[in-house]
Amino acid sequence: MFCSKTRKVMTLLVSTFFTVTVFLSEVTMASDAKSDLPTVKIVYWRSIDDLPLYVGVEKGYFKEAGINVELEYIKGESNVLAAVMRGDVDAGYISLASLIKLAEKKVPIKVVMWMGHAHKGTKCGIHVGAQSRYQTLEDIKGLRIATSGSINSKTMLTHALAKGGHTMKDIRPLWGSTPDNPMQYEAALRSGGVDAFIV
Amino acid sequence: MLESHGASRILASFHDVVPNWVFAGLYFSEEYLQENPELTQKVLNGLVKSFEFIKTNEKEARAFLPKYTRVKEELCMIAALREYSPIEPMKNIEEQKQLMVDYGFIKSNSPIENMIDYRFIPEELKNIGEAQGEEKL
Repeated sequence: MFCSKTRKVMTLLVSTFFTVTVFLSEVTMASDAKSDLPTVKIVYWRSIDDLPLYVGVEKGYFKEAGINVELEYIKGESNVLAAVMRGDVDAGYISLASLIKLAEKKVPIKVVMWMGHAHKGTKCGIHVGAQSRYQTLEDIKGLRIATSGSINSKTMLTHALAKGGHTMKDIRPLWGSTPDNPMQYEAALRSGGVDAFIV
Repeated sequence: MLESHGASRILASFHDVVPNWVFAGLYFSEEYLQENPELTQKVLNGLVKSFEFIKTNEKEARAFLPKYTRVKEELCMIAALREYSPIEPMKNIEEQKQLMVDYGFIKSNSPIENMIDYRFIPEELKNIGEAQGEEKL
């Protein structure tokens, strides 16, 4: 019915069709497998300290490792802890101070790795206004300092005061003051409302 | 960042007050670790390349910061990053803890080791950090 040349062309077409079908099928499966990666929800703090997480998501390193990481913003360590314990999210960050506090209560969480420590170039600490009369830890008597009041900041501040030969009674701490962004810190310092922040 | 804006001057950094002050750790619930050890491992495996990328392409890594932190790009490019050390020396952790106990912010001296689980840290991350060579565990 068909000449030999036509049969060869048809055979080639059928063969090509099956090859392409199998190829497309595999591509689809691979794609599905990628989108079906298990998801791990990790809380981030909108902080520069979370950079390794941002890089992992943006560069696709978590997907390469076989998971889809979703970053969720939740403000406040206690809120994050509640979300982790409820299973709303899978992981979060916690300060060493809070972890020590939770050890007292035997809260069933584990830190699996630390995300960094201070060093000579660290800018986190006690910031005074640029024109402030306070120059050193020795001359901070009367300082009005706004801070969160967390154990972390209280410990740091108390130890800084001790280094300068002072106690908490020598300054005026304003506990619970945690502005959401650098502009609010800046406004408070420039207005003279406070002399210093721990940030 | 405040300093970069000319709004503030740093009187004492955390490092000035307590050298190598340990800030925060990544944690999971014990239940999650028991039920999902392979997923936990994959999170930490993914971070291996993240740390390497930050080390070798810091500028490019910093470029991701504005999207997540809502801080202006020029500040993100100069803000001080942490020094990464996934396993902090226990000596530093204990010293920080002792200060909290001494100043009365922590009442009991509960073992902190019970709250740490390093078994998922990949080999590549175990020696990152200035504390390399110190007795970490």
